[in-house]
This record gives sequence, structure tokens and C-alpha cells, in this order.
Amino acid sequence: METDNFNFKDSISGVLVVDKPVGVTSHDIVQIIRSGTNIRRAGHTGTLDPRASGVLVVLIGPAVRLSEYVSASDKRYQAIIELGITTNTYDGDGDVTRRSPVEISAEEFETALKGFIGEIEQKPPAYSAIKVQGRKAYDMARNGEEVDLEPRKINVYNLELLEWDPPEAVVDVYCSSGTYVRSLAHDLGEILGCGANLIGLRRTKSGQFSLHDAVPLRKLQEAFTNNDWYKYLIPAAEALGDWPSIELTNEQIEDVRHGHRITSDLEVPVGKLARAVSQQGELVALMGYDEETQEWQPKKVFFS
Amino acid sequence: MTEIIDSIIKSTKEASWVVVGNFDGVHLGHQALIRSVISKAHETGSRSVLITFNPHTRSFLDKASEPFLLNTLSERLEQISHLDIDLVVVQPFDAECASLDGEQFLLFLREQLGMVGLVTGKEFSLGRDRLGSEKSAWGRIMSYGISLERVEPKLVNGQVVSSGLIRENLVAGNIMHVNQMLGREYQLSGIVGHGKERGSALDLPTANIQVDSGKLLPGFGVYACLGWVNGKPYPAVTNIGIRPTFDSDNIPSVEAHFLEYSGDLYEKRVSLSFFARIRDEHKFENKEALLAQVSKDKQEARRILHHAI
Repeated sequence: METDNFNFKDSISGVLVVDKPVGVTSHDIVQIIRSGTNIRRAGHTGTLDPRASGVLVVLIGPAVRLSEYVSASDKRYQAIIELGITTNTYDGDGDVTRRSPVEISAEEFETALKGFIGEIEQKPPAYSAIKVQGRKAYDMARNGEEVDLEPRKINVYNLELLEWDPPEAVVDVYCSSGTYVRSLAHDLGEILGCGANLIGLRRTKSGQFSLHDAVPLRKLQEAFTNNDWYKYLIPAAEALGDWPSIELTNEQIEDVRHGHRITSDLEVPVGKLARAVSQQGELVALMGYDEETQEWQPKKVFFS
Repeated sequence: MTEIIDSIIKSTKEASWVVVGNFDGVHLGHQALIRSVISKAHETGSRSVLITFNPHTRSFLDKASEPFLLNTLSERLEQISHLDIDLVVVQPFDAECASLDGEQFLLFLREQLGMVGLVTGKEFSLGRDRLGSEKSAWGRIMSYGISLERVEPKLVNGQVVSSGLIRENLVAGNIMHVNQMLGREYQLSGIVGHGKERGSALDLPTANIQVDSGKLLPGFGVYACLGWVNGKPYPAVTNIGIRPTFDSDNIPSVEAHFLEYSGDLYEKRVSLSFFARIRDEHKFENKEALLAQVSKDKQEARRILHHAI
């Protein structure tokens, strides 16, 4: 409405799921979206290496506030692993540090894969964007400095051999956020003895968004030119569509919007958050459980 | 999307820039204060916090007061949430809170919230002793280690925008001026009740709205509005008054005649956005005279609202 005093652009809020092509950084995608939509506030929720392709979830407008929650979601990849070659970057980009013959069977490979399923501690690759005392690890590595990155706890939910074509293997990887697939490839190679590195990576799922929901970058750019990019915008509430939910009565909606706690029968694993939704399915708030009082506390409240 | 908690004591302690007030109306002046606290927080890498009182301090201090609110608490929080503040605290305003003097309140915020800075208007008064109204207050506040940012008032037609001025204008029926100062249309919401059902005797689809309690009604008269049902807007003519043609009691009613809605509105929740005043209420001689005027009102409303949808 023309009488709306607030900048209309402030109220566009939602998710763009992009199929990122190889050769472009995740940051580039965000820049493209910023200029295409004319909305400054935008951020992606989980970096994809420039050498990787696949699902990149970008939040725009006020939905950017959901970032910390969406970024923490699980991921799924198709990884192309090359056995017999070990590199310093754990992928095809870096220098080869060791070559070995590959005399492994598919069964031995699959057995080794099983060993990586579950909660494991992973040392991020030296060539990674993680900051160590404020400096990016890869800056340090490039300068020849020894980088000692703390191992991180990640969860590998499943690993499945999709194609066996030695020295290459295609593996389906289903894991928690923060997992470095190239570290998995490298570590797998060490266990097998012949070494390995990651030569291809395609993210097939990020949280609940799969390739099916993603728009190829070129199509999105066309839509920017035609000024009908809105058709690809997914409502912010769906960004957390896979979270456990609590349905609220109208009275509870009022309470939650005023910052008050409520009770609910919903049980979630310790530390997990839930979505509170209206009877019409609209996202009302993100709630955290207080063990002591056995009540749900609103953490973030959505008004529209 | 905003983080909302229902008491200062439930907050974590983090370096914060704070703005405090009732914020009734969340008008242009309030918006400037809120933008300022967000900006100072970004500048200093700290958290932006807005503290608002529930009930409104005036409701607590003067329990017998007539309805005067420009916003219900929900409306207030919704408007505030558009502005992207990090944390909103709905502080219960009770006897204990009301007894604090300004210095105690500020120190409480510093210890509990981690307040490092306070945003205020040019004139402000905090606490029972109205701290702030004397110049010496600034120095005292800064000595507590609290930075101060004073925001210039917003002016409309040369007058400082304030909730009080907006209320005066609303009661006088100056709806366009009210809307200018609010930065949006004034809204009344409520459930459609059965009222006295005079309207249906006249073949007018009328919604008698039981307005959310505590809200200030615009001055008696006939207004051009948009009526929102299920999130969709419909042009409407709204009568606020005591229906002199029919009734002799003095209970004000809000009756909206929807111009393009044909469903049943009973027990639905509707919102009315007020755009312009068409005329004063009149007591008509008879039904025919009333109908003739209603017809003119509808035309006028359509003309006014033509641009709004």
C-alpha cells in the first residue's frame, strides 16, 4: 500500500535455494543475489567450496536472523573420491604429497566407510576458512606455518558407496553441519593405506532443501533480468520446516508474543529447539526448553 | 523476528545499548529512538535492547483512567519487531518497579543487562524522581559509566510528535494528521459481535466491533477505512459514536459497513485501518434520510480508498 511508511524492501523476507555451479564462491552467489534483488541483507547458511556445486541456501531480508539455526542443519553430498593420491589440500587443487597403487576391493572400501559412521572427531584440513586466533588457517598454511586446528566433533549419519570405478569411488555422505568432506576423504585414504583425495563434490541436500528445491544460478540470473525472481522465493517459515513443532492456541500465541513461557507435551532431545506454530501453520516463535521449570521459553518471536 | 523476554531479570548480561519507554503508538519519534539504539549498538558491536512497560505506566499509576492506548501490547510489539532490535523486554510495571528512582533503575540495568549506553529523547524522565529533567542528570548518568545518546524529536507540521499529541488529534477526529505522526494508519481490531443489529434492519452488512480493551477510539464520526478480514483488505465505512438516530444510551460503538464483502463476519476477528474522516455523526429524521446519507458516504469512501488498495 502506498501509505506504508516502512521501506517495502525491509519486509521482503525469505529463502532462495540456489544450485551453485563449480567455479563460483558462495560469497559470489550472495553478491549476485544482493544486486539482483536490491536487498542488502542477505547471507548464505553453509559455505560450499568454489570447487563444489549444489545446494546453497541463502536467507534474505529479516530472515537472515534465522541464519544461526539454518546453518546448523544437516547436509548431504555426493563425493567423488580418488584413491591412491594424497594431497596437501585434501582435494584436487593442491600439491600431490604421495602416490600409491590401489589394490582395494569394493568390499574393503565399504568396510572402511562403516568405520566413519557415527560421532567422530575430525581435524579440519589446514587449508580451510576456519580462523585460528583471528587469522585464516589457509593464510597461515600458505605461508608455510604449521597450523594446528582443534579437532571438531561431527556426526556422520550415513556413508554409502554409489559407484565403484577404481581409482574413483562415488560416495553418498549424510552428515552434520561443520563436516569437511575432504577431510573424510583424506582420512579414509589413510585407513585404507593407499591414500585418497576429494576430486568432486556436489551438495544434494542442506537441511530440508534438496536439489529439487534449488534453482540453477543461470535461471536465477535470468529471473533477475526479467524481474520475476520472486517466484523462487521460499517463505522464511519453511527454512526450519523440519524442526519439531508445538501448535499454539490463540491465547498461547499472545503469551509467546509477550515473551511469556508456555507448557507443552512435546518432547525433544536435550538442547534442541522447537518451532511454535499457529493452527494455520504459521511460524510464531522458536522455543527452547527449560529443564528446571519444565516450560518452553520463546527465544525468537516472529510477527509476520 | 525478535527475541522477547518478559522481565529484565530474565536477561543475560551483555554489553548493551538500551532505550526505555512505554512506546505507545510506536510513532515517528519512537522509531527514531529505536533506529538510534540499533545504530549505536552496531557501531560499538553491542546488543540493542528495548525495554517497554506492561501495563503502560499511566495505566498503573492512574488506575481509573479512561481508555487511552494507541496500541494494545501485541500491536506495540508487532510494530517494534519491524525495526530489527536484538532484544525486547516487556517489563511488568508494578509497585516495585514504580518505586525505583532513576539512579536505581539505571544501575539495575547496568548490572542486570550489561547496559553501556542509553538512548533518550531531548527530554526524558526516568524513575519516581523523574531523573533526567535537570541538566545535572547527564553528568551523573555518565559517571555511572553509561554513555548517552540524545535523539532530536521528530516534527510534523512544526509540532513535536508525541503520544499525547496523537491522542488529542485522534479524539478530535484529525485522522490524517494522526496517521502522519504514527507513520501508518491508525488501527482498531476486535471480534465482530452482535451489537444491537440495527444495521441489518436497514439491509446494511454491518460489523459491530468489540474493540480490544484499553484502545482509544477516534472522535465520533464517519470514517473511510480498510477492513481486514483473514489478511485481506476491503473498503469500509465506519461509524464511531453513539448512534443518535437509534439509541439513547451513551455507550460508544464501532460499526463498520463493508462495501465489498459478502460473507458472515460474526465472531470473526477484523482490523480496521482508518484513512480519512468523512463527516460528523448526525441524528437523522428518519430511516430514509439516513440511507441517503449512507449512500453518499459509501461513494466518498470509495473515492478516498481508491488509491489505498
